[in-house]
Amino acid sequence: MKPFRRPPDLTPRGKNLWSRVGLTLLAAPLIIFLLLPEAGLLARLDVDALAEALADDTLHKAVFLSLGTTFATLLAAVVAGTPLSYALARRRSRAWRWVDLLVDLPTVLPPAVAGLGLLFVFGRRGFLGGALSVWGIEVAFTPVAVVMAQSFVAVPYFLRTATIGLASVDPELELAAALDGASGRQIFWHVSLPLSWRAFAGGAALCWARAMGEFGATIIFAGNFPGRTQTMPLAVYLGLERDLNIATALGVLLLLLSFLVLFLLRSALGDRK
Amino acid sequence: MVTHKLSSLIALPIWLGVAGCGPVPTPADGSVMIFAAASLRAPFEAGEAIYHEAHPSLELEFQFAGSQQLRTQLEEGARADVFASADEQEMQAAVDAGLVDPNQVRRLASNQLVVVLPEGNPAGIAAIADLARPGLKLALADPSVPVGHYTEAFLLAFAEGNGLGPEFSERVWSNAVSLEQNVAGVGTKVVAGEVDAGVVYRTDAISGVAAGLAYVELAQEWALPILYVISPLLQAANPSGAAEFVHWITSDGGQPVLAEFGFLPVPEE
Repeated sequence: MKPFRRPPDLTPRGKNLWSRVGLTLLAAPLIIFLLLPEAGLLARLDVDALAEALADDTLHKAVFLSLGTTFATLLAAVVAGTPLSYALARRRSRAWRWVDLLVDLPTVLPPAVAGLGLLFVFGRRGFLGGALSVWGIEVAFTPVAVVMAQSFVAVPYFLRTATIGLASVDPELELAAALDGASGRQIFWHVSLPLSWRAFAGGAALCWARAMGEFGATIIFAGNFPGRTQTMPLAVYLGLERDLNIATALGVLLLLLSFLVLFLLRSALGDRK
Repeated sequence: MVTHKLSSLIALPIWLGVAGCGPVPTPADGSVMIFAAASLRAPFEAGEAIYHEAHPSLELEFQFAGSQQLRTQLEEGARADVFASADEQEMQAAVDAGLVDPNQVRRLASNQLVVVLPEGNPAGIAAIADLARPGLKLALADPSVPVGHYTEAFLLAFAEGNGLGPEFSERVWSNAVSLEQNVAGVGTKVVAGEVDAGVVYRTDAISGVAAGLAYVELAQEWALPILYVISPLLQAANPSGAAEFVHWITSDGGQPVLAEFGFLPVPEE
């Protein structure tokens, strides 16, 4: 497992030390800003509260549920999102350009509003949910609702990244493959996908991470019930009402778990720089 | 003005508290930052206009959130002049954290629990005992937050008082499809018609009546008293303004506004 295999440093070499250090110095403020809050959480971590949180059955349920639902979301993103991103990357018509714009909407919608929207459609008084409930199917307040809430807010991140990756593949390469007799499916699997693999992997990681942190849409559409719909962010929020130390411990666990999964994902997919 | 004299008297201990190193107390003007329980939003915002007429030199600023959340923020150094809590425990926690002088805490208002029903009451709920009916969908607050704590205590006392046994309460809780973190969460699910009933404060139910909600009052003999308390904060940047607002809202000035939004008068101390 070599997630951080060292590729050659591609930075243009400056004449003196200062210009080489310069880029690092320019990058430093943002690195510090992005990592300080995590450091703050770790600094305030109460070991007793962490032990208490780790022994808590509610936490085990939340971890299990979070992992299960986020991987379902990731699966949905890859299975349903790949054809859509390919279409978005290749189709040029006005209608497809509109679709390209519209699929970004969920990312600007406040998640709680997204939850309301889902409820208005799939809730038992919603126009689809109402029809489904006649058949005895009610999705609101179930783990399925958690996956739907996560998919709605997180899948657009996969779409955006994968579309950019596919669009960056030179169409002439695909054309050449077609001239050599490759079918559309062969072109996708043997030319387009290998050339945009990094974008797919990055989009998948981004989508998974966003799903893992999802809170607002979940609590509105799926509610909060331990073992059924209470994911880790919901458990952290309830912990905040109860005890700051417990909430901090849960937050750190969420952070470590997410780090571990992203690390493994990166290792598995390889850092193809 | 009487109010001014009174407020500077109340403010005196605050100035002693900062060991006399602050500036000389001035009559109440400037702005007052009030951290208030989310359920106080409507009356406080309505009261602001009335208050402003009587005290034009004082600007009120509000931050509304769950009482615990506000207390946590205050402990973490958030700047505010007044803390209005939906229960006495959070105020006691603020006292224990050195944020509040216990002698300055005043009773603000009281509230009650009610069962709130969506438009049309599709499940036909008429009494508390109906909440245990199998297959019902309820939105209840998690017992770790105040409204959930009151709900839990009520259900246990109601079951015991009516000879229903502890399984009554368990059956009600097993009907919960969601354990909400605050009253607003319960309200959203009821207004959307996604659940058959929820348990909220009387004030929330009254504000929801316009949206088509109905509610069933709970017999108060089984309920714990729900008491809102308010106090100036020891770290207040505007102690005289803080004291003046606390006095106004707990007296004939602010009490009618609270009553208008369904709050009940405080029991005698």
